[in-house]
Amino acid sequence: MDDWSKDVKQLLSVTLALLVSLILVVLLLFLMGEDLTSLTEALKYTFFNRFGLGYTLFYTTPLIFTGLSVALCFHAGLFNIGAEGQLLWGALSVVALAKAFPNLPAGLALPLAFSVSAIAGGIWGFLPGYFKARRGTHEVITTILLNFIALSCVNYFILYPFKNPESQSAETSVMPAGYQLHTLWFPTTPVNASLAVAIAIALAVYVFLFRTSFGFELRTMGQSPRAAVFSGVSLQKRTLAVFVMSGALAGLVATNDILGNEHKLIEGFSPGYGFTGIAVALLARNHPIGIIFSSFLFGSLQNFSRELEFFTQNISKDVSLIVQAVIIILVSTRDFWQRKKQI
Amino acid sequence: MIELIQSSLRLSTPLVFAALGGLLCERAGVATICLEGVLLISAFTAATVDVFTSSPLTSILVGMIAGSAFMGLHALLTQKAKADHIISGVAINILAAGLPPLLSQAWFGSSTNTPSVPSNARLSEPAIIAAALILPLAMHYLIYRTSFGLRLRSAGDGPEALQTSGISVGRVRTLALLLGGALTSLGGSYLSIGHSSQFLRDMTAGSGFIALAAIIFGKWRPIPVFLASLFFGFTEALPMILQGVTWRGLSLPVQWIQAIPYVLTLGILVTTVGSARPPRAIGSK
Amino acid sequence: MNHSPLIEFKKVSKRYGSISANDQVSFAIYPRTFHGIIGENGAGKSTIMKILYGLIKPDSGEIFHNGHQVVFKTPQEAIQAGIGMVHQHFMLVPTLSVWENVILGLEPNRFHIDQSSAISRIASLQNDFGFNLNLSAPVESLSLGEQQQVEILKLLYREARILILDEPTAVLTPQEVTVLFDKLTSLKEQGKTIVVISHKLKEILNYTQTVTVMRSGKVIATKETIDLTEEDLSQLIMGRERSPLRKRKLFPVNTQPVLKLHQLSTSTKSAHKLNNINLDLYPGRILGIAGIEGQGQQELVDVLCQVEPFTGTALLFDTPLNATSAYSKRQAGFSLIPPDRQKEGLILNFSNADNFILGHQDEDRFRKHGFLSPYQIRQFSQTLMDRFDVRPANPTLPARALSGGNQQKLLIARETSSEVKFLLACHPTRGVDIGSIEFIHSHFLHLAEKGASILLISSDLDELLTLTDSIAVIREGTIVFESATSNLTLKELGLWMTGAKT
Repeated sequence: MDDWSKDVKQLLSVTLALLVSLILVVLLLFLMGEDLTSLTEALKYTFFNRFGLGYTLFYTTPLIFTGLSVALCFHAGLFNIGAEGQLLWGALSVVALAKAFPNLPAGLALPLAFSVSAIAGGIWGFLPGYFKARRGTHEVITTILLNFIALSCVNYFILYPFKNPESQSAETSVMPAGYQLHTLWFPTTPVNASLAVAIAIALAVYVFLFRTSFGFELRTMGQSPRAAVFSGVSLQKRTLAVFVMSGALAGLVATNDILGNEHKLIEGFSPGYGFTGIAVALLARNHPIGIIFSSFLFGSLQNFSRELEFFTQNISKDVSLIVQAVIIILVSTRDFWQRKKQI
Repeated sequence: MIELIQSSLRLSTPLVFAALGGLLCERAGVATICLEGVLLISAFTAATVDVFTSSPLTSILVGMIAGSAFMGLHALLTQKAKADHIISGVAINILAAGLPPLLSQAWFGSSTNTPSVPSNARLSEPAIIAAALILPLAMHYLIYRTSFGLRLRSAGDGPEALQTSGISVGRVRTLALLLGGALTSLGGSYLSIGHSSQFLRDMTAGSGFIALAAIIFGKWRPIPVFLASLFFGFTEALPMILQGVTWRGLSLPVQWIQAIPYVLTLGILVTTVGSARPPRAIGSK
Repeated sequence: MNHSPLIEFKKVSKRYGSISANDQVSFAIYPRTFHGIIGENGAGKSTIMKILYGLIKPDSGEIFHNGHQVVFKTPQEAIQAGIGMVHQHFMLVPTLSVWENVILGLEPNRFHIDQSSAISRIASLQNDFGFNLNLSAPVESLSLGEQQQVEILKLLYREARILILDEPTAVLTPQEVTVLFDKLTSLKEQGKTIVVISHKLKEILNYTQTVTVMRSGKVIATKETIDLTEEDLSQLIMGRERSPLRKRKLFPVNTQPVLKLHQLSTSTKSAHKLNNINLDLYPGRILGIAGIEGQGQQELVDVLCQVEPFTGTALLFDTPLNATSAYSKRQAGFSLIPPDRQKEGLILNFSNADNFILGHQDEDRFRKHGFLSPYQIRQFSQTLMDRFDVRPANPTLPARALSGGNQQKLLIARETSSEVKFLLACHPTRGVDIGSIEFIHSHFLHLAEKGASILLISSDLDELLTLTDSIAVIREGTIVFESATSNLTLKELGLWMTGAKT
């Protein structure tokens, strides 16, 4: 009974957060003197036709990866604000792989690309884990700084060694056919097989966290580091491991955008997937299965704001950031609202 | 050389304000990764007000109000609603990243920048820099020699003791955040209408986080934090100097140069500050 | 007594769910007296004083102060009326100096603090009342006894006329206890009213004039202390004769130690590093570690749990400690009751069932097809909760929902469910109700009879004296004294602990 009422409450608070956000958007449209039909058009192109839904699902996939990345660290009591940097290295590594072995058949190239993107993300994730475990430097500040460093480095590679000489913009050459994940289910939209991979990985993360002793130990250390130590867990080793795993999850974002859609790396391809991952994880209360759904929600938001920008005169797609912030605020103060109601 | 010192000072100024403003909040026991957002929103507000009023003084004041309001939101979320300090800070940073482009698009038709203001509507750089140089002494006095400072330090190091002696911890922290927000906003306003003549999207480029690193590096004490900010300002000035330098006909790619301040900051944090002791109750609800 | 009462409680009640913390409590405190409130843990002593002090709201009843009915909504209102309280856990800011702690919240000036005038004012205050503290020292550098004096000084600075002390001797050595009560007696002679909450008979009998006895939320009696003997008081507190701990059947002598520490030292920066520790613990024996808090007990625990590196020899079950893993150590029969059960022993947000596998998460009995099996874990914990009488015996509830005593029983059930060869028990009965204490003590005897060795670290000297075979005193990271328990007295232990005897 307890669990059931908790679920209902959870659903209610999510609905409330969405309602508040929607009201905010309507208010904004009104204030800016926009036509309200732009709202219904944007909604239609987010949920209610094949094309729109396809794009929404396309934006869902990377958020599942970054959401899981953030949530895994959260379970161990650690903050990974560095998914943004980790996913950049994942993307770059896929491009590098394609450049090194251009003629691999898809059957070999694709699994290799998935592994390489995870490994590259994992290596970048190793750094804050190492700094935390060995030097005691707080992971929040190191992951943020590492994001800036990753951005500079990856941009350098896009602009110099990997630059597409025939293109005017900052992007790499198109990868050979073996490295292209083909779109599925929704023709003319970029949603691709990596969505299925993302969902499978979410299930795997669930089993890992709640059905293995390693996962049990991570959750223990997240609740009480001392208790974990006394039960024989090495915090240093676990911190390193969880950051590597988190980084690997973030690195996999590349499979959706690079293998599945653009087939090349464009400067600034991520609209902040890493940061949105924080909101995704929070909304799902770090539950791996919940993350699939909250990713869909934030994926819709991403697509919706893009469409809104398209259908209105003066609203930029940054409106999604505002809604994101509002949802994080409402969710992080959820206990407060529930307490209020009891009194 | 003179040029290097000058640009170091210029680039240190926003860091000094943000680091000392953030110091106030952190000493009161509130983790402030939202410094970045406060810098950004105050920079945008000051620039926007300046476009309409051409009065730098009004602009800086409104900028301070905006920055304080964002810190006030942080106070509301962490102290009243008991939200996690880091999560609240992340939300505020996202909000502060999203609002300027949205409003700028609506008001000026461009989501990437506000219109440039004429030079007579800009802040006097020497005056602001001078203020930044005096600030650490004032902060030292405030924190160590006043009853507000005593309560502030208690809120960070022993909030239970403060509460039982009849002072509301939430109120002390809120006050510290509002004041810290106002100080940080001086840095933000300086960025847009002192150092530059307009607001550019994401123009703070992580200054708030570097200020946070300066707080940690300075071990949460005003004078060392000030010196750390000067040092980090210097690392930010380095790229400008290095930009033109060529060696045997090769020049360093601009992307590598841009990474220098972050790499240095990270390197310093990781190698030197393992054992710094933050305020005992930082992040407590 | 011909005065009118200073404080009078009339039928004050407070319930928490089905438990009555205070049930129709009525008694009076007279001015310029030394008043004791005594009872076992959970008898409601602290609750009634916290109600007076404005920390807890009563459900019903009235409180009179100087004949007027009062309701203090906050501690500040109580302080303004001249009532001050020293809590069991000190409310001091560790990094601030003594004088800063004293003036905090009631600074002499509005904005600028004139340090020298503030210090001289407090200096004259502490002169008046016979204290001798270094006012500029940071509080964290003081001993616990001195920190307590800072708390009292805080109240005197606020001109409190009634001083309430909640279990003031819990963390003090026997010698510090004497100093404290002498101070309190002299304060009484200077016109203050002193109220001491305690569960220790001797303190109450030796120093107070009036004593109120409480049991399960009710006032059993309020009497002149002179009229009471130790037996009377004990009878009143327990409501029955204290059942003495049964005699233990001694495990046969075995010369092979289970734990052998030889010239063990730690080298980390910690203030209380261990220095040349030598200890031997034999099968079926209970060895106690006595000492003031923070003399290296924590470091000793950390070494045995392999959290802290060390030099010298440490052999557990004949294996060097640094050549074994936490897992194999547990498999060999190592069990641990850590000092802070809520932070180190249990995960309060986890279910009781999950708490049962903490530290045993790698064992095959909790798995099916290689993965943890929630069903098997629940079955296992249900069995143990029933056997150890942990209430409520529901494995799916979070451990947070259990009382302190039941949390400790859960912990002990987990740690002693498989065969125990060596048990490291730290403060096993701290903050635990009397029923659970008896259970825990007799369980320890049972374990020792079966051949388990127990290393008992406790600040409760009575517990050490009744339970152990021998006691080692630790001070400044060194074992300064070791002796068979039968030759020892409380006083002698105290002298060794404080360093009066070396």
